[in-house]
Amino acid sequence: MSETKAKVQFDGKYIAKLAITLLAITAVAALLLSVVYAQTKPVIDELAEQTKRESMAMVMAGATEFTPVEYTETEGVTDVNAAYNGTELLGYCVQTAPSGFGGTISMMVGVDTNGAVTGVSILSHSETAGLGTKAMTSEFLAQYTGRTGTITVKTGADTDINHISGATVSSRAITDGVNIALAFIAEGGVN
Amino acid sequence: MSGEAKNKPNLFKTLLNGIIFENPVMVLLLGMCPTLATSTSAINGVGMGIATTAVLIGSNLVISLLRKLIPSKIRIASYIVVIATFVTIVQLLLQAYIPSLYNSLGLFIPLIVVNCIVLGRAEAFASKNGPIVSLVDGLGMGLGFTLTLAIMGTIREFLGAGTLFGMQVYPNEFGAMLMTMPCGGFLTLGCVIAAVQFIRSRGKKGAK
Repeated sequence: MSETKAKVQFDGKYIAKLAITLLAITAVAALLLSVVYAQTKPVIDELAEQTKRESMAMVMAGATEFTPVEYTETEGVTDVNAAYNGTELLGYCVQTAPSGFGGTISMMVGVDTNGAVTGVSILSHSETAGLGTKAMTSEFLAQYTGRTGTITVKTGADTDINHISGATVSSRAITDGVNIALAFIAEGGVN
Repeated sequence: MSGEAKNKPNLFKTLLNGIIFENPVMVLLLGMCPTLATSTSAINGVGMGIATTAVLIGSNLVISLLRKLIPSKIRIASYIVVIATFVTIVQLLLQAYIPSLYNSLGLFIPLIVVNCIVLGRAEAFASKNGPIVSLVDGLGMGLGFTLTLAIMGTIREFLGAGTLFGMQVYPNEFGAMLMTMPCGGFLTLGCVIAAVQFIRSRGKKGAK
């Protein structure tokens, strides 16, 4: 053992060899990665843009054009787009990021000019398949359409969202996401 | 050198070794974490298996080519860099061209870096053998991993959600939700390993 130790401490050439070998390997790796990254980046961006566009069209029926707008930085709000049908402002598509069971849920909430929900769509999530995902069916998400103000998380009562048993955290997270968007629009978050 | 020459005619054996006799999950018991986590459905299992196979083939080949250039003191660091490079490439390609699979595998793609099958084969096989046989070993091990994940994914998906490769066989309500949850993964893994061990021990007895 002591022999090995001495070698590492005093043999400058050996240390240099180790460093240079590692440098060479990492340099080649970095070069390779930058090539692949440059090749795939436009495709990935295009896909993300497309997904976003599709979900905006879904939550704001009838809108033909979406334009990004300036907005006040608000916790949970990640992006805001104004939805137009020709020149008529229909409302806003607010992208929110509430915390679910398996991490952040990225979702799109459409809010019309009267401050009512026009639709909800999930962009990405890491909820449990078969449990949390039950709170992402179109039937479940349709419950939010038309809601205003603050939606409470109680179960049973008529005015509340029917939460899915076994997916309490996921349902609650989605309600949070809708509430964030409603509060954001009500408080005049769009500049 | 003589060891390499000896290994050359055994490419087929090396391939089968990975798939059956030394199946990474069912016999070597490596890579338990991704096995349990991504075998919730057959599609996920196969996707994860193929992604890991691609990484295994690439890393085994490169590490085998570099095995005489890499000083032993920094070999683990070098292997990790090589493996991480391949994983990142696979991740970017999946994200760009198969986004649905990328979304369902999520966090488990970057975690291939620390999958002990990949590092284990680099250390135990590729660092001691020639490039071609290492490549075949990577392919065999990867296919073995894919096969195991596919079997487990099919069982869990069928019992848990009533579907086979996404097609509804019987109504979802009758499925045992337990099977798609982590504990179902352990139960399935235990049963699959027991079945494989049973077959292997019978095979040995027969040979005697």
